[in-house]
Amino acid sequence: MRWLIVCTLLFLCAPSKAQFSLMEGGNYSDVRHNNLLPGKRPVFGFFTGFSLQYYPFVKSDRLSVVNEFFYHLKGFRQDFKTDQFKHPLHYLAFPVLLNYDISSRLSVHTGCEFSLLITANSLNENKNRRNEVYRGYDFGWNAGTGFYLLPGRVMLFSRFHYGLLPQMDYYQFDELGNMTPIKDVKNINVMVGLKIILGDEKIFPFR
Amino acid sequence: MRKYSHLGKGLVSFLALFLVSCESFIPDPVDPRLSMYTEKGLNVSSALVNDRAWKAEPDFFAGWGFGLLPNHDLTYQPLNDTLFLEMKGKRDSTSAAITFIFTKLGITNLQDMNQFRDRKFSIDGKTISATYNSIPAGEGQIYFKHAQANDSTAVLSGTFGFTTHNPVLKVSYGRFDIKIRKEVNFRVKN
Repeated sequence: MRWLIVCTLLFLCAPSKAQFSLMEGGNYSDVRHNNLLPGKRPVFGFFTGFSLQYYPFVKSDRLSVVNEFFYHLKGFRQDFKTDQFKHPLHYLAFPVLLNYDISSRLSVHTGCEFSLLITANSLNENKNRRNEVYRGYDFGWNAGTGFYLLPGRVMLFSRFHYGLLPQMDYYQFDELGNMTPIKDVKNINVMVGLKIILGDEKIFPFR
Repeated sequence: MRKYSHLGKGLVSFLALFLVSCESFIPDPVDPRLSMYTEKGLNVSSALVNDRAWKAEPDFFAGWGFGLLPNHDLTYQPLNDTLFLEMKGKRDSTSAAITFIFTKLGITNLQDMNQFRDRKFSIDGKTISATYNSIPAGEGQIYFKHAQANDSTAVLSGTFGFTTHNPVLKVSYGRFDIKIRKEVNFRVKN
């Protein structure tokens, strides 16, 4: 954590040519499924990482591309009569977004996100086991909006993420024990966070 | 005495590591109250009995030696050509066994267990029957999805589900992954 503060201060003080941001925030995560998971409930998670924004389109300085890299804790939980289980899904996310500045303070963005699953566990009081039935990566669609709380310094943003790939490769059982192979469980979540802009200068890399 | 204290710590650490490595219950990703369906011979079985989890997993024992009790036994009675598959588990910390009884299948040794591969048996109360804590099952089935056996060991994995009538119990979403070893948990009883 200490090195993060030091880096942040260095970036804030040093002149930079990129609109480079630190991003932090929380999310409300859930999964979509085809009547597979009993007692499923959404959970709160968080994300932390970096964002790089640049303006490749010469004729429009309102349109920009955003590359991000962040750690993202998603997942879901299951509530039964006597037990509660958490299913944290730890991802490294790499979204590529197209951003449009509606005004000097307000912007909208959309794009795709590729993410790598670091680990997936089933947790309750005394069990912590990796489930090997989860796909190692995900691909999804993102859409959101941003608002500068402090122009050029701090942006509040929210984003909707819609996972497109089934994450679980396992079986569906009926009560008698008949088994059907399934590929199900897709991510969905809403993120709300802050982008602390470390370098504020617009760059035009393809000019 | 003090110079042997590190030996004691080492032994405790080894035992702890051994116990952790032997823990075989992997929660099911769909319903974590149950064990995940595997085909590794982990000696684990589980089911929901009236929507509450019943689990059978190996027990650690220590006496003259130490090890794991598989809690899953296969017994063959040649006299009436009957095979008993017993899974000794617990439901709410109360012991409860699930037993499947196969008669006249012509399976006399471990290698013959390969015949079980990908076979579903309906519980009819005659050739195939089942009990939960000695309560006979009415209807249901047992499915051996995976069976790999040789002269001395057999790994059997599959699923089961059945109901009993008196009292009414629903044993559902059952699954097992067991390793049967000759002279350990496979016995021929006359």
